[in-house]
Amino acid sequence: MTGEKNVPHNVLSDAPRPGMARQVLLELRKGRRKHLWLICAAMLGALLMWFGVQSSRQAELTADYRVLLYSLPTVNAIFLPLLSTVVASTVCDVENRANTWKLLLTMERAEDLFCAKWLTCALVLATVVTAEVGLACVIGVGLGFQPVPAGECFVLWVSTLSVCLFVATVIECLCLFIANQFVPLVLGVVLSFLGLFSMYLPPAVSALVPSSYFGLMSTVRMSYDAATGAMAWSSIAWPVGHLATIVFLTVTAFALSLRAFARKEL
Amino acid sequence: MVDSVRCPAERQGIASESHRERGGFGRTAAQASTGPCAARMAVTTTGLTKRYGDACVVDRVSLVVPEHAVYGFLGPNGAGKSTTMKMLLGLVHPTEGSAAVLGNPLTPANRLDVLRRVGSLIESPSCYPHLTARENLEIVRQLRGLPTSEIDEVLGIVRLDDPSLRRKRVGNFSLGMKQRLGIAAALMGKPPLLLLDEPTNGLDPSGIHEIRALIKGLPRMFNMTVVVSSHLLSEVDQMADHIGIINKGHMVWQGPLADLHARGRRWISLRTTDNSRACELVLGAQIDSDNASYLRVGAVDDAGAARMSLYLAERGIGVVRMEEHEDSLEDIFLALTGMEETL
Repeated sequence: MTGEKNVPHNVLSDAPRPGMARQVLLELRKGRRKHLWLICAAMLGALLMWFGVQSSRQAELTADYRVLLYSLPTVNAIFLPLLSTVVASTVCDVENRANTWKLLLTMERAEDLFCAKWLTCALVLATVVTAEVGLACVIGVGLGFQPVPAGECFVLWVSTLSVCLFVATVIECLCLFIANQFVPLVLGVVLSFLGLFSMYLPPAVSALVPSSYFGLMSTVRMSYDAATGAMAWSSIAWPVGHLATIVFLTVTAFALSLRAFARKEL
Repeated sequence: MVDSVRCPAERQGIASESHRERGGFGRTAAQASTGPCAARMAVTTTGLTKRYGDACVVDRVSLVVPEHAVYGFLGPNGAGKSTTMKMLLGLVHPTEGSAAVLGNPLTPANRLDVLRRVGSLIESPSCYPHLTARENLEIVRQLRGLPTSEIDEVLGIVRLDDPSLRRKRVGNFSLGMKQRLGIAAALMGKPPLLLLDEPTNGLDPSGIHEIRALIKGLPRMFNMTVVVSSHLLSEVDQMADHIGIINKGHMVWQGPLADLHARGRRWISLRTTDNSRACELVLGAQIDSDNASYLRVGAVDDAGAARMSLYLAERGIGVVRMEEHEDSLEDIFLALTGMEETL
């Protein structure tokens, strides 16, 4: 096997360790053939189809773009927790399956690896949410609604992405500490299931359910007149308190997970 | 006449009992470091200890690995080999003690800088099953900042450079191929120190032979020092030139393999036509505890054996069998680890 080759020894490079951008690219490279983008596209397709069908019913009543801004978070609450879970689980579980934690942590800092994985999840989710918001606006116009103002699109994008990132952070933490991916996936399914009923939960309870935050951060409220069966949509100020809550929870979960992962022994 | 039998054995200091009872096989880390290889050490640890609650998994281990050696780290399952190696890689934090790798004290601050010059394979091969061998090594290459040519070189060294494997995903590799890929990843950059934990686990005999030949050749080919852990005595015996034996977290012996072999007892098994009389006539002879039809006599040279045979013959005792024996590495290992009694 060895053969007497006269191979020069010790060609170890003194080049600096790869930067975060390169590590994120490496994470994406690791996910090759995992069909992550295909899974995201399929779930996004299902989400937009649901959204399109739901919005088309309202299109006969009004052309108000606020219908779209109200509908999309309700659909997001069902699909995006699961999608965020799948993304985070795929990005992290690749190491569990390959048994590469020990190898990687002899070459890079645990903190860097954790951040690279988180940023990879964030990149994928930001892409998905951008595509979702953009396509939802196009679908809305196609159904005859008014175009959604850019400012509202941005608010929707920020609100949606912030909840996705919170879910992804929690799932990443679970994936890094639990080799069995059943647990994170069950959590994702539970969050999606709760999302289905999030609009019907009392405000105090819904504030405890991450999936509810898609709706809680919406800038549109709907009022329904039971007597006439009429629905009306109105704009409200962006509930930045809820945004601050979810951002705070995300930062806290991130910091605690990072600390625990850096201290973890393998 | 009896004296003529006694003398050679006594002169050579090989009377079986005195040798057997000498005990104290152990060569401590300090003793080992004063040997001829003491000048340059690839790895040294001082009082390395790891406790999990009340359980002390590694207890004040002082490891001394000379440069350019193949150091066999031997111990039964659960002895603390993997934990010690993980501490050398900073994957497990020592409760007490310190380690120096390639002359640098290992600290959390400089760990990654030190480990840039260390290749490792811990417990089982680490490879992404959905990627090809080349794609796996590309990830290591980028993290280590190595030239692309390194991938071809290490694939050639472990013989995974067959064109038919270019598109084959690692998930479809045999265990032996995965193990070789793991070693290839460890060899990336030809680091001066390689830590391999049970590298032949799960391999078939030809795979074991290949890996063993590779490991034995590494110091010569690449000026490497290799620390290879195993619970298989025969394996370590065939590839290591230095050895450390750990048991229940304690380092019970370390030093050159030749020294360990020299610790083994040598004796002659003798079967005569009248064992009880022969036992009285030959100094130090006793009934063999393993086989009562034999006597056990301290080892003697050819001349001594001839004199003993003649001496017994002159007294009407015929020598039916005379066999020379020595402790195998397994016997020495079992004696050192105190497992002799349990088996």
